[in-house]
Amino acid sequence: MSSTKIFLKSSDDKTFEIDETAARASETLKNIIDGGCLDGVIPLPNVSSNILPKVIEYCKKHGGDNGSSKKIANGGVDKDKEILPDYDEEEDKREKVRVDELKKWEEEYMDFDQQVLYDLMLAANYLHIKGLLDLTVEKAASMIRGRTPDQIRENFNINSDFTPEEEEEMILIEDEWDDEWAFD
Amino acid sequence: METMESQKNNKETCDTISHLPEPILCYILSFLSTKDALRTSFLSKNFDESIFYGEPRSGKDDNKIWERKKRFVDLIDRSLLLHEGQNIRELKINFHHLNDSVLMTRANPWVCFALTNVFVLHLDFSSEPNFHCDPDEDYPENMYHLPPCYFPSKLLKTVILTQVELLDTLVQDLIANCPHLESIHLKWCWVLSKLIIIDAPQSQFKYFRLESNVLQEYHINIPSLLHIQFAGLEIQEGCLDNGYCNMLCELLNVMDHARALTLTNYSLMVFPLLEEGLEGLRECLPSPLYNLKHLTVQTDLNNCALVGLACLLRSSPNLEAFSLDFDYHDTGFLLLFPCLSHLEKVKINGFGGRKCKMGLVKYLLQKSFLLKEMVIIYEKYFNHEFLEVKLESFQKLIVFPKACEIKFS
Repeated sequence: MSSTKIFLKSSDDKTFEIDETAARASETLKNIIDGGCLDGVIPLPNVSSNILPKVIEYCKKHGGDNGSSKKIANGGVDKDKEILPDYDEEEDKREKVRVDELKKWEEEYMDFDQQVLYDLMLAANYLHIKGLLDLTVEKAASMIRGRTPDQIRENFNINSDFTPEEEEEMILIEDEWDDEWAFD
Repeated sequence: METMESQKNNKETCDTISHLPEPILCYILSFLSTKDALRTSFLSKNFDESIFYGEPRSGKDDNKIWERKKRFVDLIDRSLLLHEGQNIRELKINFHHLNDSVLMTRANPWVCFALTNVFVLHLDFSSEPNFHCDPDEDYPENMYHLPPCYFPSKLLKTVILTQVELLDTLVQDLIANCPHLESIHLKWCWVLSKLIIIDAPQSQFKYFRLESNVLQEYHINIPSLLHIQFAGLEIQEGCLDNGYCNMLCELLNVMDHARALTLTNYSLMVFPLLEEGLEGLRECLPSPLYNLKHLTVQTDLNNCALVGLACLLRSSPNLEAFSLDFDYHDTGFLLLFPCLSHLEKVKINGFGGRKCKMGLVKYLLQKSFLLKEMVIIYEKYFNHEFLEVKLESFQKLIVFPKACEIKFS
């Protein structure tokens, strides 16, 4: 099963190889595979060759062997729990190591610039990879959270097209929101 | 390859977020608090318009304050529009701008939206946050009129309305047309008609909570109804309203189906009042509450409330569970009631171990032969003096002659 290879063609005509199990992390690819359109190469006109390897890297981590072994491990924990409580701790430890490792991997994986983030969000959305979309969107959200409009503009290279008077008015509006409207 | 690099560099100096497709932008906003999300409307006109308006705005109102409020209202319109077709678990709208009637009518689409897409709906149109109704004051002039609900939701489960003016038939419409509606809580709402008829034999409706000091007559036919909670105003003794009493009696008369009832002090106090011109106090309600199995009263058991409670207990021949919830003061003593002969469970909240309450516990333990369980929940104050009283009362309680189990917590 895991040996089945699938070929993906980027928007700039470069071909990449991916295991079928890994490709299944993407709903879009999964539908294509299950739909039986597997002869040859799957063209992805919306994903370029500099972002596709990044996507594939994510799929390999989450759609492939790793994902399934996680399920087995979880199932094992539940069964052993009642019979052998000692096993439990071992499993817990292993699970913790696994989660820590995944966190570290995500940290390294997510270390990229704005442009990659932008492209990855688009690709994750297009390929329906929920985990990757959540990861990238959360990163984008963290660049907005608790920051002033100026800081956010700097983060995303947004050019403010407001006049100074409008800017001033906005500060007033924000103060008013603080005063009048209750936010959670 | 080189051209691609330079292209990339070019792109990097470009805006990396504003041109994302709307669904992704909205998804990003969904990860943010309301305030952070709103702040993004200050980033650029493009960003603002693409998310919050959907289309470029044209023309600007001269009045700046109006413009600001309108802007916020527009934002809500837009964000609700983005949710169209999605089900929202819980929606709270607190709208404390009653002096602005034009702005207030803008809330109509939200309410209509909420009535069709939401499971749990809170609408608060009180004139200020944490509003508490003053019994001496009339209802505010500009009450929000809830629009008629022609197509209520298949989803709606709970509705909580605060200070809203309702059409005469709204409660009836909601209960009869929302197959999953289980609970309605009306807080200081206003209905023009003096007679409210709720006839919904098919519904699943279970829980009706009413906070009101307005005299209204209720005709209720809801077989599934389990619990009525009725909270009137806390008014000083001496200004008890006889009309209110009649209304409450009417309500109890028609709550044939409800098996549980919760009442506050004031409701208890008005029970014994007879019609004007007649002397003395009522001993029983006009007709017994045969279906009432669970009674909760939140009271300080002052003399007046005690007489009311006696009146209520005399009229509740089939009571199975009785909860007293009091915070302070005089307990007095209870007379012998027929329901005590088969009372099975008593719960006392806020027990302080003082003499009068000890007397009540002792009385209940003695007279309730079938009592299986008494739950006593102590007050939550912890000072040295209290601990002593608690210990002392505890020692006394465990030696009281009794046939049942006392649970302390």
